[in-house]
Amino acid sequence: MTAANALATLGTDGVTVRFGGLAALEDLTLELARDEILGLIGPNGAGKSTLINVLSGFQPVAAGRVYADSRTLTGRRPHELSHLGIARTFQAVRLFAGLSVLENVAAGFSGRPVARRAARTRALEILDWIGLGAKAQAIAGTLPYGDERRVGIARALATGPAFLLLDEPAAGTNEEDIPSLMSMIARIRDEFDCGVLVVEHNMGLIMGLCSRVHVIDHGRTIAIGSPRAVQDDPEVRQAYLGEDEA
Amino acid sequence: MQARLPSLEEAVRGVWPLLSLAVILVVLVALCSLGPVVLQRVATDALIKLVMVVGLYVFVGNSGVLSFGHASFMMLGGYGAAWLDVPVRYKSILMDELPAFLGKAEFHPGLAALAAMGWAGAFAFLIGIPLMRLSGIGAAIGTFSWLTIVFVVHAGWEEMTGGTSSFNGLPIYVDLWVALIAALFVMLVAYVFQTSKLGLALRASREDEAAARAIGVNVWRARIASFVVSAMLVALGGVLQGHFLGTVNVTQFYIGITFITIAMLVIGGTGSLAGAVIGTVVVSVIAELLRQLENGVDIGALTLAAPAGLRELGLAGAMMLILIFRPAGLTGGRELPFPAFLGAALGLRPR
Repeated sequence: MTAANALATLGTDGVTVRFGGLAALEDLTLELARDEILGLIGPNGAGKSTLINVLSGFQPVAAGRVYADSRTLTGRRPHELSHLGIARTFQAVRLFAGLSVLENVAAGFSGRPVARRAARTRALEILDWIGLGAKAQAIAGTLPYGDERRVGIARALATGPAFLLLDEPAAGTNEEDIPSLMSMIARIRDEFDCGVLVVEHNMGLIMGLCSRVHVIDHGRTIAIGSPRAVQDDPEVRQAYLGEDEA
Repeated sequence: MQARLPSLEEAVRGVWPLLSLAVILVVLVALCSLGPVVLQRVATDALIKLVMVVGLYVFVGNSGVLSFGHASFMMLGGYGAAWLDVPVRYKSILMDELPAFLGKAEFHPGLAALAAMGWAGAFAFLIGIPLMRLSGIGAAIGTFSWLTIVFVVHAGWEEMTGGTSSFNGLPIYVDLWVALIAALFVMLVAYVFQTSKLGLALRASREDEAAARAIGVNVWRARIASFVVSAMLVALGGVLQGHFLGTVNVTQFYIGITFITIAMLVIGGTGSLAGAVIGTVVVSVIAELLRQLENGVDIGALTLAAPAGLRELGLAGAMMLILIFRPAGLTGGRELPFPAFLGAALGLRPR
């Protein structure tokens, strides 16, 4: 189930995004490698979702560059980036509520040269892989929350990504289900051969899963490093303490 | 990945939504064919509406974008075919200002119908390029503006269309059976389209446009493609209408037909082929009953006649009630379910 393309890195180079006069991202540089799980953390409003929107083509930038290896991707539209192997999930999941679970995942093959029937077969395989094969015929809008998130991930995997951007995959998940989610994300990197960027508030998940953590606050990078190094970083502690006081 | 042959179950379930509707329709039409000529004409007219509504559904149902402009494609189809297949002996008298390549030519009606569909499809493609960037109210108003343009051009271009008077002399070849075959054909095209990869991508964009773009769907392109297919099918409806009545007229393809086709689709449910078909059947029956009430019902020596306009009032009222109490339409936007007894009879496991 490996992606067909050979891209090795995805990143932003000095990206700035402004909403009105306010900078949501300020001169932000981030890189995600194909073989890593990178955690992206920061207090609420730090710009994490904005960064995912930039990387997936939903958010134009005021300055800076988006790239994959030596290719500049700034200004490319979301469907073009999907074709290049950049997939994402949404914080609000955004399933195709009126379609079946199978159709949701099969739709993920829209931009790929895969015939209709083969797309259904492969969508079923992905659903089996993710543990939802039995619910293939259910209408997506009727699923419980946890299943919804898994379908969202399955749909993103169907696009054959080289890089997968997960926007709060653990939101609304019970604490006891976190370990299985963590092992699934680890298996995505290994079995689908794709780099994973995880935006998450659940620190246990970030610390247990990520090889590297990128911390942002007010749209700027404040630390990059191993989970342990980042945890001990005074500026990171300050950012989170500051949030707690507010 | 190896291609796998579908199991019997998959095959039956796969064609069920189309097959069930086709069977229902054929049975209804067969029953009507046994009735009086008036009933047959009413049924033929309903089948022509069905062609238009299913054509409209291909775009509106799959994309979720409303169009108030599809009557323009009926007009392009109706007039386009008339230019080609009205006999020269009529054209030389009734439409003596037509350019020679049309006025002196006479094509087979089947060829004329195909050309007319292509004519409408070409316009749909050109106007779709800018219009398909719009959604919601913008698309509704944009498509309606397009209808106005087509109406004004046809009504004003006397030499080509006869202006606001009728363009007569169309060969009358549409009867109940021709209309039935056309309706079944259009349903087949609609079903193949909605189950294709492109159809699935478009329905995904209907459910959530941003999520569809994120998985690689070029929403604009998918909408243009469906708009063109939809316009061609609707144009066939216009062709049939013209060759059923023997005449085309600009007012025939304007506000009235726009309203009634949208009412049929909305009442049945915009989200499914079943909605388009059932909505057309139900509304046609209601409209016919109301029309008979308008004409008067004999009770002994008394004739009770409802006031004229009852039909329009009834349809508008029905559409409002549906929008308020069952916004997804009679079918709820779903295809007809596969009945359990049939699955049991075929030895399929229940799901």
